[in-house]
Amino acid sequence: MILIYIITLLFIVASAYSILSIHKDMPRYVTATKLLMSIILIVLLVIGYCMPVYIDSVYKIHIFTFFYLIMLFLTLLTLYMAISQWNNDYRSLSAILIPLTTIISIISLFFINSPRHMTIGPDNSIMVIHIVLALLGEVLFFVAFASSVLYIIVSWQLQKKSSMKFINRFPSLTVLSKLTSFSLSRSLFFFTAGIVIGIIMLFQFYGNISSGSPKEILMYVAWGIIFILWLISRSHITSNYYLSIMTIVSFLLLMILFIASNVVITSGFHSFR
Amino acid sequence: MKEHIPQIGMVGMSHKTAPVETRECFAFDTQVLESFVNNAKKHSIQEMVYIATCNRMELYFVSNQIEEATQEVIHLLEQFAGLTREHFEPVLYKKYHKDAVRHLLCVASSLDSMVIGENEIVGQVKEWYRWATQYETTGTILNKLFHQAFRTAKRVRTETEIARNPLSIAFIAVELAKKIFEDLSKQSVLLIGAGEMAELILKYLTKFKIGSVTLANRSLHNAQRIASEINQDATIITLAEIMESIPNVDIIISSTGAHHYMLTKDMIQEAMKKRTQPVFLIDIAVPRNIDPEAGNIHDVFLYNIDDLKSIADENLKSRLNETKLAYEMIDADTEEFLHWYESLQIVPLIAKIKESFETIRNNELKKYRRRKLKHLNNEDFAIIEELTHQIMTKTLHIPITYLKELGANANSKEAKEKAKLLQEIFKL
Repeated sequence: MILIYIITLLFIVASAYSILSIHKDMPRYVTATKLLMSIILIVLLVIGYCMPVYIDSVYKIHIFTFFYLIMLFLTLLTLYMAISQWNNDYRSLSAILIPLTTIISIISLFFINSPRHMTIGPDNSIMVIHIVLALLGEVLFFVAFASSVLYIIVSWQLQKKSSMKFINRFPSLTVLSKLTSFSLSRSLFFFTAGIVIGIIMLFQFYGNISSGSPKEILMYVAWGIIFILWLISRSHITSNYYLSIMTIVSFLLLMILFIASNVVITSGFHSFR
Repeated sequence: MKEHIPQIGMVGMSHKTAPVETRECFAFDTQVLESFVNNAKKHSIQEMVYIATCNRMELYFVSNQIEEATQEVIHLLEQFAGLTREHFEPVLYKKYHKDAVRHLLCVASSLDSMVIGENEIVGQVKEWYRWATQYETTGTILNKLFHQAFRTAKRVRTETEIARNPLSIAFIAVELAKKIFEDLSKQSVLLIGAGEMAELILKYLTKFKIGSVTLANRSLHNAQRIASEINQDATIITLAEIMESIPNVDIIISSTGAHHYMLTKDMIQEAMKKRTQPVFLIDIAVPRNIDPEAGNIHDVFLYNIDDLKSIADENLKSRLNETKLAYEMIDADTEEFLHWYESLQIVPLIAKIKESFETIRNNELKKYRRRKLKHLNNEDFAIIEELTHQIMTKTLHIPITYLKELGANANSKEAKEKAKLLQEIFKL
């Protein structure tokens, strides 16, 4: 339990450093952010080790596990950016992604002791793949959101004719719009794969292809939104600016729906029945 | 110990001290310079590097009699520039030891340049240093000093923002274009009208491999001239065809003498409906050619000459703010160099100790070769030689390391006393 509070605290400090790194333009803040994210990853892995979900051939997944997996994927993604082609733009992307992960970490605190859980296996172990794929889809949608926010920021700064010292801290507009399109297409791929696996699992286990649960409906809504955004990005029917606005609004809408449904619906909710 | 170490000096003149009419007299061509160097070698100058750029002429030298060497250098300058000493001596600066070292580090780091943070100076200094090494006018001290200067210049460039933000209007325009599009090779540019600044921006864009160029001009002759000078593959269109081109171009540079808006907000808005990518508008003209209201359309980035100038001013301010940090680096690196330089004072002593041990070793080997080891063949004797050499090197390793550390503070009373004691012990 204490580790979960420590991780939240570490996320808050890492967020502060990531924002400072872009605000103050000092390399030592970027280094500190990377170091903190590495520590966070280690602590997250320790938490994962201390809270096993796979016991006696059965997965017992609590609602906190979902938050945990999102935090873990986002942390891995943020660290991957530090060693990949995105390293040059690490400062700006992490300044959005880490505070977002921090928000998830804070929200997760309310669900630490939630008794709501679902049991998977040994017959329906395929559901774990469904969960992982769907969560990867969500995480990539996070990235699309982050790059869209940055697109709007850079666009405003360029229109405001801000100093180059500030503008130079961000990636170019083209890079950001490419990242948005890239994240949307990958997010759609993982979401689709997750849904297909989910349908197969439902059919095998319950004999039908839908459980009609609010969570399932929410997932279809999310998929639909991401599909529309992906179509827009592919068909070039609107400017990158409006695509970014639409991505931001859609993401916020889905986040509100997701959190609200988890808070309001306390029983009979998808697999957590 | 001190008398064994040659000293560093420099004389020079720059844009800060001398007018161009004086500076140009000291810009020697390589033939003259060869003769200059050959003359200098005859005097007390042991090492020398000559640097000449459009803003400065400087001579760095090393000599055991530094004051005498300075006079010799001035005399040579007088002789080769064809000016009397009275004519140029008032604009000549002379620096020695720490001041000379620090000055070179400042010059290479562009802190002494007309435009602080400019790129060219370090390359020019490198070029002159290369020339000096070719003519073998450098030695241990200047080699070390110039390499230190190049390292410091690199540090200043990478660890401060002194050179990060451009100052020229044309370059700022290109940097902004890169901030919007990243890869300019996939973008297209339309130049409306002509003008020095607009053409310069186009030249820079071409240098950065801009994808395609379209030229719109009232005079076909003018457009053809620009195409032949800057981009021969450019498409030439008339001013009436502009509207058709706008949706397909990513960067528009406007510089016509028109007294009305060539591009109105409605025109840009209409064009933006046909494209999803942003557009970068550069309005160099006075009076302006593009309706400023167009800059409020999303994904339209409109910069006029004043906007670019104010960015240039801000960048200059930011460079000046960074100079404090750059000077701190230069001071630290100057100290580091002087630390090494001071340690040179101990080098002759180390050499003497090594020489003395080597003499003993060789004498003993010769003696043994003649008597007790005469039965050994050459190969076996070589092993004995190698063995004695290794024993000597290993025995001397710790005292020599100690001496080198002592050399870092060679001017201290303690170091001098210890060095004297060693000389007495080994009878050096």
